[in-house]
Amino acid sequence: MSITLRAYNVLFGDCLLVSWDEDDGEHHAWVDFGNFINDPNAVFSSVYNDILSRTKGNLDLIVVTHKHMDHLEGFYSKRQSIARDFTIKKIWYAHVSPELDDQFKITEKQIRDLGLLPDWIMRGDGVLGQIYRNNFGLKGLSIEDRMDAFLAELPGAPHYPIYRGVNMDDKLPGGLRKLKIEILAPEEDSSLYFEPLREILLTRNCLDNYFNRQNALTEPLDSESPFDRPEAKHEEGSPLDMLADFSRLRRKLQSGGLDLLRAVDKTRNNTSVVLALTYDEKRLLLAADAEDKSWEVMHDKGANFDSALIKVAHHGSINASPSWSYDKVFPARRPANGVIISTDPTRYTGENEVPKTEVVAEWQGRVVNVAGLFRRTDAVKLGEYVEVQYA
Amino acid sequence: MIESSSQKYYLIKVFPQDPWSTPSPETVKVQGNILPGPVGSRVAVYDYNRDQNKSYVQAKPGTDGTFPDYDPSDLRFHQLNAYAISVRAIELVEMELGHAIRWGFDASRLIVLPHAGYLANAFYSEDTHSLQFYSFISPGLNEIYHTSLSHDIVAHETGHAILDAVRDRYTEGLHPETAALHEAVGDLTALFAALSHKSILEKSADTLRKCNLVSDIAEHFEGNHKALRDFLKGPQPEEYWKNVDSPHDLSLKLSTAIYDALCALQEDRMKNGNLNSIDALKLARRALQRMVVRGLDYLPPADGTFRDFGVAVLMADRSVNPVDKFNFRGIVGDKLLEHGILDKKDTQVDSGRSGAIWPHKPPFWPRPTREDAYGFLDKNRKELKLSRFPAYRDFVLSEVHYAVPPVQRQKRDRSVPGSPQAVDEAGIDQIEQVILLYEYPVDIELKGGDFGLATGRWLTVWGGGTLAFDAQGRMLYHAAKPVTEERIAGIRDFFRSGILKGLAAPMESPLEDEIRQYHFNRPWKLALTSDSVILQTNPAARCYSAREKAGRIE
Repeated sequence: MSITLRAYNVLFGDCLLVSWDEDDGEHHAWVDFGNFINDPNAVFSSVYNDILSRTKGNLDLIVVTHKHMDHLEGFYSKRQSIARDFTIKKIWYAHVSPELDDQFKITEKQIRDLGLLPDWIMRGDGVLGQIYRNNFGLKGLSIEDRMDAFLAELPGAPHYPIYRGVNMDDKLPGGLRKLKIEILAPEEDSSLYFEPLREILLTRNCLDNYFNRQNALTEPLDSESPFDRPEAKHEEGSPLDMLADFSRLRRKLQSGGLDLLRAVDKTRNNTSVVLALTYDEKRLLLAADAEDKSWEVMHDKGANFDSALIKVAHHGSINASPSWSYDKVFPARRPANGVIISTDPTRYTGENEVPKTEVVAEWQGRVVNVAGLFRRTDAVKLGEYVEVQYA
Repeated sequence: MIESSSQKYYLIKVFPQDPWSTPSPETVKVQGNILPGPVGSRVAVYDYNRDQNKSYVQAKPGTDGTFPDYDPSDLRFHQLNAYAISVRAIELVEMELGHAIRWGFDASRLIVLPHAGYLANAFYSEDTHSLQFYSFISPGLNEIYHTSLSHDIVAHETGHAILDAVRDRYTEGLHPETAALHEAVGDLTALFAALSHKSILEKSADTLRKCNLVSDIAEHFEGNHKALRDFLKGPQPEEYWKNVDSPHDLSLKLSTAIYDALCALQEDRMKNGNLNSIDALKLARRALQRMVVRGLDYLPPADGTFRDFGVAVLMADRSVNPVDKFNFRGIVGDKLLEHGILDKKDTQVDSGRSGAIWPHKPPFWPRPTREDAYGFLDKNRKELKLSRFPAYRDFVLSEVHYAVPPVQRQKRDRSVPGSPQAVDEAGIDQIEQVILLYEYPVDIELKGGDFGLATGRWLTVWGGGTLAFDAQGRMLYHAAKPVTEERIAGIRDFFRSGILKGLAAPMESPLEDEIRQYHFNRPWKLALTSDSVILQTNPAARCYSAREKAGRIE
């Protein structure tokens, strides 16, 4: 009798398969399946085939921890195959309260309508394009659309938004005797995670109001101004817009609203479903992309983090492993302590490196059997997996 | 606008520091003709806000030719504030250099965006010929902080543009101190520009060694009375600086030494010259400003270091002030020695002999044409530092300057700033120095180590030198930067370690906004092409602070 956590190398993304023994045989839960938007989706096929082979098409549970492409894209792109090949008892995804969902939509609209990000940047390979698409998808194919399309493809699998404290009576897959599942996050009240986005929206609003107010107080352009030209059609603003050096500068300044984009990204991460799975006294903590704020909320709500194994949050970034979390998860350096990091170190380097060297060192320092129980997905080939098993 | 017999100038109000430290704007004179914008011959304000995708109405002179007295909250006040501070910093430098500067980009006007968008940042962008000043809500002040209203920030960024104009290759620093030198010159521009205000100088005179209006850079940027940097840090052991990667932090090694020298000069004049603190500071500021600014012309063409700068300051001063009646050079040299910028030998500039007159002086000396100046150097190849195969190596004469004495410069018609032909009636004999820059490239292949994405690509290292001659053709100084094996080894080490530490952001197709927003904590960027790589300083790199560290990519 055992429980196994398998993590696939899908580059920058998560794909986890939890397998455990019940009296009637092996059961499986598939947690996340995605990668960064421009990573080759071809990797999904080999992973898919491996999971199909391992589970024989029987899944107790699929969990989409949050609506980011690096956790969802594989499910979306393989939705028809999944519908054809798998029997799925339940699907869970992160609950987000309507108010916060509205804010995401407002933010997306603001970025699009104000032309803050030109289309070619949204579609491009740069960091901005990647983050934009990770949060919103492409025009006409938003992340919401992808999630809806995935669920629509699986009408036979009941699906539920999940949060801590939700009534689980009808949401747990049947037949679970040995595995106990706890939801540590998110909270039902998503406003707890709204702060970074709220702050940015308020700040922008305040700055916008200031500039609009101040500019409105100024007089219209003097028609005798030496810069006035018949081709200057601007109702307001400067006729300098027309001149080459200023116009070039304007073209170079491609994007605005970058603070908004970053805040959306952070807020989405904090709505992640964080699971604690207990099996035969071994506890596995699957921390998804929970960032510091989510950890803080879980802590305040009295979450028990003490675990045998952690899937490190947010690919090992600096902002998803609070300094106090290491000792909460591993109160002692126990032989069974295990760590899995699902990551791609080529994506972010330098000060913002992911995984962060210090974070990796902290987690690794609490593992006794490093060779067997400290595993990183980037240590194996693309499409292959690392796993930790507790018998 | 006011016109006198020799000058046109405008009276414009600016904050001599910022709205919190010095809430009452003061009137300053700004030379030259100014169009609505304000747009002058060297600087043009373009009030475009990317975050609103909107440009704002520009400041405009009234029928009497003067700019209205806008309220400090008016965006047009901000435009004038940034314009005036920037132009005055340029004037200050050109006055001391004795010649006009030509921008480090292919245009005549530096564009100033006083409200470029929403960020806690400001920077010089060579690529867009612009100074970009952003606005943010300061948590500490609980109000909007417009970086265009900070005298220090505007002058600092103008200082970047000035150094880029004087030494274009310093934005491609292959030595860790070159980017830091850029930051130090920015801060020193802010220091001297602030001291150009009588009120600031007088308020600081009695507290120069304590926290005061000029010892802090951007006093409230980090919150209420929390500055970005301060100059009061004393000399640090060499070990301390070895562990400093950030150019902003490393720049303090040089800027604190210069500030310490300013204090020492003032103290000397109070003690040995019997001057009061204000007069002593005036004299100290004037002397040191001249030394520091003139030193810019004596910097080598590439990879400038603190030592290069320190020696340049002393040598430039020796050239124009050989007697050094008050031993200012000695005092400054001692401080540069104390702060680890120079060693003892470097400071002994007065013990050396004057240089010889080079043969083959070209026609029209001291105003040779560029072609004649090249011929002059070509005939003196053996004196140049052309590294291997000096007889055959191609080199480029990249700059020719004719410097006039500062006093004469001040008298010139500012409406034609800096044209070498615009000399006054004093005529040809008033040319004080001829500055010639020569450069040559050496390509090295990045192999034999881990250079990350740059492995196997070619990197161009620039060699050359700066030559200063007097009006008679006597060589005053030669700041040589040959491409030696030792220098190449150092460059390879710096390049490799910088990449491994993640200090450089690789950019295969550099996008300014990504640099601006997501790589603000990387001091350098790697511009990659199919077979080559250029290491450039990241203009949008910010100094580290608690708030910025929290602002990581997520």
